[in-house]
Amino acid sequence: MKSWGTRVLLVLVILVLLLPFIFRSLLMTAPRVAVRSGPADQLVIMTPHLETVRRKFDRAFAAWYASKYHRSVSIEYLSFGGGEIVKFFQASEAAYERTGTYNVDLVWGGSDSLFSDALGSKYLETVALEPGVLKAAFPMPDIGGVPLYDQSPGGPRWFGAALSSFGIMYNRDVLAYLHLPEPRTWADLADPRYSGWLELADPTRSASAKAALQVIVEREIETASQEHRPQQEAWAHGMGLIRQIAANAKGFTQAANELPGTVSNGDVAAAMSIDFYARAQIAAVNACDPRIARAGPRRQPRADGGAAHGSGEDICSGAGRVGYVEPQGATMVTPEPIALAKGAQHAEVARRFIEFVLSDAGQRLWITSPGPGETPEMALQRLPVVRSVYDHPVDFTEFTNPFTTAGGFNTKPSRRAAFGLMDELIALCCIDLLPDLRGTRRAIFTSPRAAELDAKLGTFPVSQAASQAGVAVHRQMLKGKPEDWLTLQRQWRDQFRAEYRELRRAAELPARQATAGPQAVGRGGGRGGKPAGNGRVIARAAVSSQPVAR
Amino acid sequence: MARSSVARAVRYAACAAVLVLFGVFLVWPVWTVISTGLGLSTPGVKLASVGAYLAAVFQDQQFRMGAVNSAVIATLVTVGCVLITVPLALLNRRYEFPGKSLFASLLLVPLVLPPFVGAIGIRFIFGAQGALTAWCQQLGLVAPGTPVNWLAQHALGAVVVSEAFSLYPILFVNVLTALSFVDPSLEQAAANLGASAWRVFRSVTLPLMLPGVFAGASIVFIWSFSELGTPLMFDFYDVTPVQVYFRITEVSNNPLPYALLIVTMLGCCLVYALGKLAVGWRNQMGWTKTPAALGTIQLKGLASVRVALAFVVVIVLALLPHIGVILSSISATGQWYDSVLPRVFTTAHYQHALTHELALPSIRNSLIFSGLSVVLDIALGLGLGILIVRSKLPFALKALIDSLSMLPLAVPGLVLAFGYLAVSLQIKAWFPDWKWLLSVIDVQRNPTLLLVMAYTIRRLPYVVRSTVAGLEQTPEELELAARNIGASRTQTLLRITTPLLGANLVAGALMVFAFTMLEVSDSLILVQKQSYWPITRGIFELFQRLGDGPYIASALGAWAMVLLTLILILVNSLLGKRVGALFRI
Repeated sequence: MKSWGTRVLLVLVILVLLLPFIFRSLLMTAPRVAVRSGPADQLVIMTPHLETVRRKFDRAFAAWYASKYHRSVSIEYLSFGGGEIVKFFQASEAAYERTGTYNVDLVWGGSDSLFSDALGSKYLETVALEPGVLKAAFPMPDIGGVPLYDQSPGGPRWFGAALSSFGIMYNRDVLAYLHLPEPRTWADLADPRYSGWLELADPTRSASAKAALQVIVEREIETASQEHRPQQEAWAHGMGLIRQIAANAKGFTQAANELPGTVSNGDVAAAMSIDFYARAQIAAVNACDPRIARAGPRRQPRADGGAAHGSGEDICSGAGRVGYVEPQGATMVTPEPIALAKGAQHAEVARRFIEFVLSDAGQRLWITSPGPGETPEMALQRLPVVRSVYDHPVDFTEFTNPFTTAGGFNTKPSRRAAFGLMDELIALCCIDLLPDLRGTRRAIFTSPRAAELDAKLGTFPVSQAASQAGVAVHRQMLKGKPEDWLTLQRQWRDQFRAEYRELRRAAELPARQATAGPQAVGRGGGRGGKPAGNGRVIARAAVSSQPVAR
Repeated sequence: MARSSVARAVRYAACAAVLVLFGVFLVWPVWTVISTGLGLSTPGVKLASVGAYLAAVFQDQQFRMGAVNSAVIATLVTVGCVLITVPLALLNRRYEFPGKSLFASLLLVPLVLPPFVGAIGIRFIFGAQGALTAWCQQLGLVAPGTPVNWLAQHALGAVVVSEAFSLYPILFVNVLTALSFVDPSLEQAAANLGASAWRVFRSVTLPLMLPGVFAGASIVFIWSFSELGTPLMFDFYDVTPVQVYFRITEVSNNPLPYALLIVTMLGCCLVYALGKLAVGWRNQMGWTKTPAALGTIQLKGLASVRVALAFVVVIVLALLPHIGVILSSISATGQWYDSVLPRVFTTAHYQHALTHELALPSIRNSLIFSGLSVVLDIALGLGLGILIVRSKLPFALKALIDSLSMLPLAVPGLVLAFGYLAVSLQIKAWFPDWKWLLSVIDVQRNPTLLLVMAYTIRRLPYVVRSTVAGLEQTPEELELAARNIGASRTQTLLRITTPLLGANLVAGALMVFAFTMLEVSDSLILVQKQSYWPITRGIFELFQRLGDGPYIASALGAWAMVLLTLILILVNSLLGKRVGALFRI
């Protein structure tokens, strides 16, 4: 008996192990890439890019290389996340001192600040591209103020390889349930009906999330300067708006790649998302009808049939539920660079790879539909960095041109620098204290003084000057003297906590007492005299909507 | 005299070897990461400032709250696991009923939940528009078109329940093994003397099985205290491991998380030592192991259904994430939404996953890495167990070794992995010309050695706890008798001790195998070349794919899950005949 059971088990194990072979022999249709004989040129690329990106460029580069240089090339990828890349270089310093190489040729992908600040001249080498390549790729040196390649005096150490931006991805079903219109601006996300149905990205971890939040403040400052209002006030309102938005957050996501799934599964109504994540998700969910993805809102609500395992039209039942928008006039577009590492052992091949990536053929790989024999996921859904590519949109999967949409307003590094420890402040008052913040805003909207108190929450208590002054303290920590920074951090957090407590107390006071009014609510109280801004509009919206069921 | 001094030398040599092992493969890497993090390598920073950082940790209300939350979670999870497993283990021992062996095996399946996709499975079921919502809508409990955020209701409770139902197998295996050592004649004697069933359990069975319960409970406690993934999944950030993780992965060089990490690790060791003191360092029972001579009661009809139901309820609840993974692996992309089951089924994900060039090499790599780790862990665990329980080392040394063997549980995987990476690079910088050394140490060339060691160290606690519990429950007299009649130490070890501990070793090995197969942090950071990628790296790679990534990763995960389950059951049934006591299939 027992041995019989064991034998069955053994057979099962073998069968399961054989499954991949069975699938392979039955289904492998794609032709295998012929491996060239003879010695191949080597290239080592450290990259956070997805496997599909690597595969697509790998094949195309090999073909381009063979036709141009009549040699074969073999690329080894080291798969690292953005933050891990810096950690790798830091950890390898001792080895570099001895051997003169990091055993890496190219670093490809990540935010531009990773390359310009974190890696910089310490780990990156300047590259002399073939004459004309740079000019052809970047007729303009920047996009809306953001440099497209490194323009430091010693020569370029990095080049933008693709563009990325940040927008709002949303689920139309959940929005309908919450009686919310489709979001169009960041401020829309501050609507209290989003409470608990929003997912944000952590600005201290994701450089692109940080830039996206910076744009919110920059936008306020830009508007203020047009209306001749003081910048100080604009800062307080911009940061305050971020706080109102954060109060709606269910959480701050760690892995950006989880966001699209969260939205399309309907766990949240909206989320901050990197552009191509959103586009890829929309393409995958709406795969059965590509027109819906482009045409925007679907025309008819889906007939609710519970679990309908039908054929035909039912397959499309989920189509069009996911949407994506880049807030007008507040879109941040940044390049995603490629760079040569110091001590690269295959610098010549590496330079050729950069030239290929910047070539028209290389750039088209980002945005075109899958080639013959390729599966749908090989559409990379990315935006090319070379402007001229957009002039001939042949076989494109996406028709936005970031050079025209983001041309006017974009985040400016010079302005960004004046924001000081903005991301740390957001982490302190929004992420560390998220349950506190969320509870505070909910309490505010049960109070008759909702508009007034929410305006206070929407006025940031730490001034831009204080945020900038913090930078020096923060820098001390980087130099190994963290005590002051740790104290400052704690003081700020305690200040926010006290502010929220005060606001909750004020919100819970009976209306009559409230008119007599406690004067100071946190430190934001002094600056409460704000004209009808976001806070009031939002408050009115909340009063009119029914309480958000959960 | 001469003989005993030789024995003493052997004892201390073994002890020194163990300490060197922990020194090289645990303390050095972890310390490298922590000291870099604290900035101790920067000139001008002194060890004294570490004191200031530690003080800063305690001053911070946020960290205090995190520690309290973590402790509450760990306590509740441990209690929950005890409440789930002890009754089931007792039922399993006492009664015979149809499907019993199958249930006992299925209870262990939660061990093989693949990473990344497990969370996806839970989200599809408990998501706002997930299966549960749709089901409640069908039943009329929730208005149609209303999404419900189940997971956000009580984050702490959700974390506790989710961890309890994923960690209980660790305790179950230990309790079951411990029970197999409990001599039923003692219980019968107590019952004959008129003790009630509860009294027999409380004053006879429980004290006798306590080493096993402690072994499992201490692992569960420390694990749930330092668990990162589950609180993250439920957006519950105010726990120590998440606070450490958030701040360590920040780009800035904040020393605080490393100070917090030191506090956590010391705290875990302290809690463990206290627990051990409470249970008693010397908890040796002088009873012989009975060859399962307990008269089981054959249940029929309704009674057997009732007992079976207890098993089924636990199994179904514990396997919900697995069911979620399997269903998402056959759901068309984005089509398990607002419905109890996926709206459209497909096998496309399996085609993608299994024809992917990663599938086969990665499972082969994983089997090799895990297999080596299991062998190493068994050898190390046995040696450590004997040192801790049987040797005549001073108490302080034993306590040190015991605590060190538990420390890996409290070290975040990410820290250990980065530590190994740093150590590898350090050695490379020291000996740039030693080709043979670099070929095994340089993770960029061949990560096998360091990866296997990382796996081994991280999962060593299971085997150590398991063997220690076994040794505490078996009388030393048997070994002494063998020595008396002239057997050498080696003979005694091979012929007496090891067979007696068979069930414990199998239990430990099963857990090591399952957990190393699905190990994440080391696999992601130490393995850079694709040709060495283990299965978790493969799952991660597919998971990251945009759009259909999670579904394809689910398919690969489900395949690995089925394979692992079958292997576990197969090994169980092969060894079970010889080991006899653990699970009878």
